[in-house]
Amino acid sequence: MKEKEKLEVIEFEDEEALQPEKSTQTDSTLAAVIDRVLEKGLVINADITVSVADAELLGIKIRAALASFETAAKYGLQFPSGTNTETAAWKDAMVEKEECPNCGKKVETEQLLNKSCYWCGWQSAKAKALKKIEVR
Amino acid sequence: MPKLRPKSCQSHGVKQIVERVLDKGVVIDAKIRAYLDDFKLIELESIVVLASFETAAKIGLPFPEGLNFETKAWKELLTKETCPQCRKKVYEEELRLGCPWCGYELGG
Repeated sequence: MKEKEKLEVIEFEDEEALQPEKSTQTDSTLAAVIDRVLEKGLVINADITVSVADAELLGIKIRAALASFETAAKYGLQFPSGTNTETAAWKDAMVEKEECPNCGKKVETEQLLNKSCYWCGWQSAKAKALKKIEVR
Repeated sequence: MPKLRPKSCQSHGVKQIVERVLDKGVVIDAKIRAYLDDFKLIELESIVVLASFETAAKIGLPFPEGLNFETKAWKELLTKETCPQCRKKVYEEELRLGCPWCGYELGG
């Protein structure tokens, strides 16, 4: 009996140790904000004209998009000529990924939605439903 | 007993504010005129729009040239809805049957 109890405690501790901690403290730091903005992508459009004494002197038109490499690749933004898009990192970026709601790691959508997060073991509602059907 | 952890989504941090602002979009329409004795010296007209990709696509803002609109990400951006519970992007038909991420059901 005693041995069993001990075993249970160890199991629990192991489980705890395996849980990657979600960064709750750093949620609103500058790094997190930049991270999110770059992930979502930012569009900056501006038309500016400067006139001096009724004569239009200067006109500026800005069409800018700001995004992380991954987001830029996903949305098909143009890259400077000479960029080699055949590298492994590019192929990795093109695979559809989602953030695990539990641990915040990026996991392939297929895996995360239909099976489980391979970082923390979190399962989506769909995966649980699929498992139930399988058991039956 | 598992340790209780603070919920991150409850804090209205800078991240949430920035996200919300960009999702809504920001328009700055400003005209600045400098006069010197009724004589218009300098006039500055500016319209600046700031928005996230999603919002920009929805309201039809022009994107830089050379952008490929045929990618999967663009199509998903305009057809997917946000789950009210877990904020994940899901197709509307799927969401009606229950969110595949968190199991949230509409109206229930």
